[in-house]
Amino acid sequence: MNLSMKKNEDGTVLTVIVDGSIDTVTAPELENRLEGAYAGVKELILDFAGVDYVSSAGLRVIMGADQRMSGTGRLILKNVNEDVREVFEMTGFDELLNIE
Amino acid sequence: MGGNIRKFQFCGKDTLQLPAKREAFATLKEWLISIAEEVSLPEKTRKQLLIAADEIFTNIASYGFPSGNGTAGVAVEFDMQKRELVLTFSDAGVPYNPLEAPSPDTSVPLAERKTGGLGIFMVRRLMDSVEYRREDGRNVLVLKKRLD
Repeated sequence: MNLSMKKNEDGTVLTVIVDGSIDTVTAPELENRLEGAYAGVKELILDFAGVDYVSSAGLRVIMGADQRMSGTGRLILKNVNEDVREVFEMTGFDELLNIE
Repeated sequence: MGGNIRKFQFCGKDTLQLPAKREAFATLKEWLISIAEEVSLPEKTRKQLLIAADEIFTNIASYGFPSGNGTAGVAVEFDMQKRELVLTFSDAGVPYNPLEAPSPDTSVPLAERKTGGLGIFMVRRLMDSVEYRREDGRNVLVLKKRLD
C-alpha cells in the first residue's frame, strides 16, 4: 500500500490517496498516518481509486476515521471501485459512510 | 488424448507454514496471488480469497497463541473438475470455532458499532462454505469457493 496526502491551503481539507490493499498488515500504517494528520481538518477525503480490496482491518480504520471526523467535520470516500463497494454493502458501511 | 493435463502448473495441492504473526500475512498474500495467477482466478474471486485469508489468518495470529509463538498451516487445493478452490487453515492454538462468533449488527451506526465478528461475517458471505473442526489438537477451518 502506498499513501500520498495533501492538505489545502488553510489546512481544513485533507485528501489521502490510497494505493494498494488495506489489509491486516497495511491498515495500521494507514491508521498511523491519519492519526498524525487530523489537526485542523474539517473534511477528510479518502481517494480509493487505487484500492484493490479492503479487509475488516481496513474497515476498522475507516470506522475510526469516521468517528474521529463526526464531531468536527466529515469523512468522504471517493472513487470506490465495485468490489470494495460490495464489501461496504455487505457490512452495512455503505449506508453509514459518505461515498461519492 | 489428454492434451490438457499440463494446462496449469498448479493443479493439485500446495501448502505453506507461517509464523502466527499478523505481519506474516504479507507472505501468505504473495503466495496466494501467485497461485491465483497460475490458475487464472478471476480478479473478483482473487480479492474475495485474499480478504477471507486475511480474516482467518488475523484471527489465528491475534488469538491463537496468547502465551507465545505459534505457527499456522495453510493449504490450497484447486479442483479443476469441480472448478472449486479449497483453502484450509490449521493451527495448534487455543481451541476456537470462529463460526460460533455472533454476527455484527450491520444496521447500527458505525460510531456505535462493536467491531468483533465482522471478519468472520465477511468470510461467510464471500465464500461458498466454511467448516470448522477440532482434529488431533488442532483447529481446522476449511473454506470453499466455487468459480464461475
